[in-house]
Amino acid sequence: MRSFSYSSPGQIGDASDAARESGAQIIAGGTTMVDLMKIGVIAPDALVDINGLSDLEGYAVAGDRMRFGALAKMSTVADDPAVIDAFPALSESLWKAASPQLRNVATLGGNILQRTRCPYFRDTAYAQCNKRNPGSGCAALEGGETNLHAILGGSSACVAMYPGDFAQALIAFDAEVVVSGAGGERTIPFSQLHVQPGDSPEVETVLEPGEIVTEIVLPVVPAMANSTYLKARDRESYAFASASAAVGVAMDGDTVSDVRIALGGVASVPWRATDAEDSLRGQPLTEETAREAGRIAFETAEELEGSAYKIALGADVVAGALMQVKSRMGGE
Amino acid sequence: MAQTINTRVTRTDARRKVTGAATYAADEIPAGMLHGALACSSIAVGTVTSINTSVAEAEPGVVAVYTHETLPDYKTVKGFYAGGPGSASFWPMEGTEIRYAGQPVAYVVAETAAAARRGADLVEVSYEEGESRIHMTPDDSFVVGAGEDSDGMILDQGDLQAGLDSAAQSVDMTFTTPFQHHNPMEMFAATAEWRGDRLTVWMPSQSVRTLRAGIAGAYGLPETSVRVISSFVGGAFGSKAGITPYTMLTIAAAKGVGAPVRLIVTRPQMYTVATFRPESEQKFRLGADAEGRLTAFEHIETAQTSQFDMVVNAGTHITRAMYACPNIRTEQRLSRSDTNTGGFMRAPNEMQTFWGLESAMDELAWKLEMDPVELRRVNDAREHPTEGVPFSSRSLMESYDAVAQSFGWADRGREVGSMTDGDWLVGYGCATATYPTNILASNARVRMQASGNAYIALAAHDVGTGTYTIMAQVAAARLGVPVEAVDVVMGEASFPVAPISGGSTTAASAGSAVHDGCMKIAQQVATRVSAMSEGPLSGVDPAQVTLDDGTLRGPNGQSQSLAEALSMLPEGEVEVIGEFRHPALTNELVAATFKGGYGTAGPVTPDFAMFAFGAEMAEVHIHRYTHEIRVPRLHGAFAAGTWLNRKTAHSQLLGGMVWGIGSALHEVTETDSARSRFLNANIAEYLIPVNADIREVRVEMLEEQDDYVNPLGVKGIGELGIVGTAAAIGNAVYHATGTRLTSLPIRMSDLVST
Amino acid sequence: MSETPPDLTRPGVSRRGFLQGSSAVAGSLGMAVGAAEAQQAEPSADARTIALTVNGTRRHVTVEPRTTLVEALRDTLGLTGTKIGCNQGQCGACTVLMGGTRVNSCLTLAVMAEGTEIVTVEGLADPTGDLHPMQAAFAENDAFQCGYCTPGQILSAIACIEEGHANDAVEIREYMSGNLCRCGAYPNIVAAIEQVRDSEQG
Repeated sequence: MRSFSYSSPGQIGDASDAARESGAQIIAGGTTMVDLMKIGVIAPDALVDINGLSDLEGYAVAGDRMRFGALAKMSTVADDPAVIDAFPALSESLWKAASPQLRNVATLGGNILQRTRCPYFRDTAYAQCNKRNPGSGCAALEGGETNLHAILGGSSACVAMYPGDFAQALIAFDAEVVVSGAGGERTIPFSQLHVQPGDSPEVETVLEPGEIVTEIVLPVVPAMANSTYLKARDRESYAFASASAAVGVAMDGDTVSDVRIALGGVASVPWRATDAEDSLRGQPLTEETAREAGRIAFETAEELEGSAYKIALGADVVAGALMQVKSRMGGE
Repeated sequence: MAQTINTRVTRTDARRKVTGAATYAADEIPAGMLHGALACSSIAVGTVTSINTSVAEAEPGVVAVYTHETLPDYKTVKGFYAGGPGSASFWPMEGTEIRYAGQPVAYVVAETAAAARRGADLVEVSYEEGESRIHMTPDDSFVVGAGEDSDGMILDQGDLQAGLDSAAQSVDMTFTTPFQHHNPMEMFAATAEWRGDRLTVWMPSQSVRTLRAGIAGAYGLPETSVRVISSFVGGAFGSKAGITPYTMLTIAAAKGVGAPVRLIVTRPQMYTVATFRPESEQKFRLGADAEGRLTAFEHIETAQTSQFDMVVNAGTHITRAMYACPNIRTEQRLSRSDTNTGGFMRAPNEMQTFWGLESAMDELAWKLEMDPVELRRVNDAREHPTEGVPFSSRSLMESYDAVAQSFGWADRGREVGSMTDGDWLVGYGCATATYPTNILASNARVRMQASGNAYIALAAHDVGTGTYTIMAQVAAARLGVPVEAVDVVMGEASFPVAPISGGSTTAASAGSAVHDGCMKIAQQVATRVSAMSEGPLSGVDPAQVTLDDGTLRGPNGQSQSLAEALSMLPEGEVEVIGEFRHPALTNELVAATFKGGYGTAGPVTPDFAMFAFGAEMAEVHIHRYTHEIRVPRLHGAFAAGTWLNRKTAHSQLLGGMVWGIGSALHEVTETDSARSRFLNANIAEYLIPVNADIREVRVEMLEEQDDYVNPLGVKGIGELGIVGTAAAIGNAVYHATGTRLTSLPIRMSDLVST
Repeated sequence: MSETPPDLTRPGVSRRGFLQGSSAVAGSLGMAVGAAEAQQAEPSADARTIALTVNGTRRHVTVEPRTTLVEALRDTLGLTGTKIGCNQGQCGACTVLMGGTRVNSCLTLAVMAEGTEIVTVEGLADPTGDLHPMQAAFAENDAFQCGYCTPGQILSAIACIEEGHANDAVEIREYMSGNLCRCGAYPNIVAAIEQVRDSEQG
């Protein structure tokens, strides 16, 4: 790990100013940052530790908007009975990620900005990685293995997959993020926070230098209470998703009045499956309609060699998540 | 005395392990120690054209940056497969040649570990890259030693084709297994300290004497000038057996900088600087008559090896011992590719081959419409099918019957896909486990005092197997003292010769040496007290004195406790060297072990074939939406002669079965074929089971008596538990889904269409 | 494993933070060495002395910002009971309690632990030498073989009960999955935790 300077400002303005310096990076929980620094993928000149900004640790799920401070810990939020009751998919997306030790220090703000696990991105022996080394090529697409890669939202420059879980719960329910930077505070729809790789895979979000995520806000809707996060993985725990789905459903009698579907483990960015949602709205929720929604969710997927199985797997996971919600609602 | 053998004894080193007081190699911090780090090649094949070390050298804290041109007094040893102690025959940093990805190209020494690793990142290497291929090509394979000394690498008995032609049912199947890495929790580490011409090396080792002999030989030093210390080993599983480049590089670097140097190999580097389980292909052709009796048995194993070694883990020698059949043909082949040399990984001959054999047997059973347990029963062999000698003991069907009862085998649905549990498809599968009983010479120093304390020293190792404890138990049982009264020291090359901790041999061989030492103490004490004018054994013929749980007994009922007898001696104690030399051990084999090598006899001797046996049954659940494969129940029953410690033996078998679950469902070292690199060289993406994957694992330990294998009647169990597990799980997957999978591991992606 | 990054700034924008390719590219596949941003000047080492309370005793250690907590514990304070199994947050061998919660000390910068209370395996037995109930339960249940992951497992197990995640075997298994055990002692680890949980409740 390269040497760096370290500061821990007590005010968000100071933190933002420090983070705007060339070569500076913000550190909160440190679980990805320190890892990536150790393997030489990032090598900041300066770390700005924002753990002193204790105002950002709080959260509230009562009322018509849920608010989560960016420094709230994954474990704290996941374990909160109020969260589990009001928004099970959110709790599940947190506790099914990483390990208890990592969740005890990892923050919600850091979580949504986590970096890909693409092995070519993480192994600096590979010169070719457009994300790590813009313009160098893509070792995965140039004869490499693509079994951990994105079948949705990739590009000819990069098929790195967004590995997180929590983001699916957010994007499915129209979350927004509040960020603070030199230009003051602004609010960004979560769906617009991440940027698909296109020709510039090194650009992963719309955040400006020095901008700090301070809060995640969600409008409360009935489908939240009937939600789940289904995560398929070869290992039972402490593993990234091969495919996952955050879903929520609200019924009007026998038909679906609101449905949310977001996909994990398959896309370059947090992914909302709006076409699949549209197919269900106004329909009864049955195994057939659930499977059809799953199929539609992957209609535009690339048949990327190595990850092609995720098309069928992802569709089944969507269907399974919907049926799980139905079962929880007592719809069986 | 309380029973100390065949009972549950808490590890004597448990306190040290739960308090953090057990010292592993990297816990030793000699004064003035510096830190080492490796820089490794990005290419797989080619040459180093230049190395710029100036930037690394300018890094604050960096003390030295060594390359093949600058590393002083670097020595290497012959590779294991060339008859030497090294993990491979090709040594990095002897020149510019690169023969595998991740090959060390520079060694950085610095004041802190962070500075050393940073320095290694800053070494700039340019290469001329050549063509490379990471995977073997079975079409381009060869038989080991064919023509000259085939050593059973091809065996042809009876008439295979006739056996196939006459079969009522037959199977012709090809199975594959992937590259796998041991991934012990303890990272590879070596600390070297020179004091003049005297060298001390701390490193986790399965064979401290191999290390010392090799290092001393390489440097032309007497062995007495080299200390090798490995008090505790944080898991090994075969990865810490030979002398590796990282050790010799550290020794040279410590000499170069004139200070002790400790290297902790990074987890990604652990994938390339030592050995691994080579990938393999297993071809089986089996034929059986209508009653299931085998009429033909063919097994062709092709395993990957490096370009510079021939890794022969002869699995066909094990599979052909399993089932009675008149027509048997086996062939042991290798195919080369551009990796470091593989080696032993837990059940190196058995894991891969029994995945194939036991899956093929299951397929045959389905074709015959036979209970797969009954298929094993009708083919159970009382004598070795190709060697013509009886088994010293063989409890295969006793194991099946025991596990069938504990598991509830009779309750299984008789049709494929006939069992479900909510959203889960359910399947049951079974498979045979076995492991050869290998025999090695061993010594042990045993001292007993009149106070009732005993001391044992031997150059054996505790790689987690409970060796400290079972050595104490053997002595306690013979000498009639509590286990806690026996102090055992191990893990130092200067102690009496003990075998490599590999091949599941330590308990049997070293334990038998401790047993012999106790008997010698009794004999010496009896000789001396019988010559005394007073005392209960005065005048007794010492040749007729026996040792019974710490009591010396004369032929006519005379008796005296060993401790009392010792108190009559002016020294108050006796110290001996116990020895284990099985009749099957030739002088050459004994000599090999005493030179630091691996002089193993068995499993077949002129008189007997020696194997431990077991049977495993798995219940597999497959989710109908996520296709996740889980193992809620895995039961095994095993017979392996005497159980020395039912607590630690249970843990070894349990651990082996957990490894089997990993091999079945998780473990694979992914490869980048384009550039011949291992891709998931970490333990986040190289999956091994976590706690949540392991649910009900039940181990039944059957009684078995075997007076031939060794005086204790012990067969090794360190590897037995993993053998067959993958097939039991694969067979259960077939039962649940009707899909016969032939490549390990079995993953969601294989079942997504079911 | 590290699913959650802390950098709340825009990833990828600060290109100086990324490896800048390599000047030493060679070979037909264009493979390069990993020593990339070598040309840039290094910031000063910026060493500082921080205070930690380790096992109840206030300790001062001089560390660089890049020094991890596990390095400070092992190499500076000599507390080698805490083990390094991967150095990447993937195995849990380095688990310690920090401010009462379990964390991976390999991904914790020592400077970020300043002022906290750390408990390592050396701090569990009472001063008279009596083992902590979890240590005793691990020994009795043979909840390890090689013992290397054991300090981390024990600290994690204590936290697992403390957090309220030990209500049944299923929950224990899930909440102990951050601690890999290559020897496969998992069922015995679960048994040890259940035993301690039951004795605490009893």
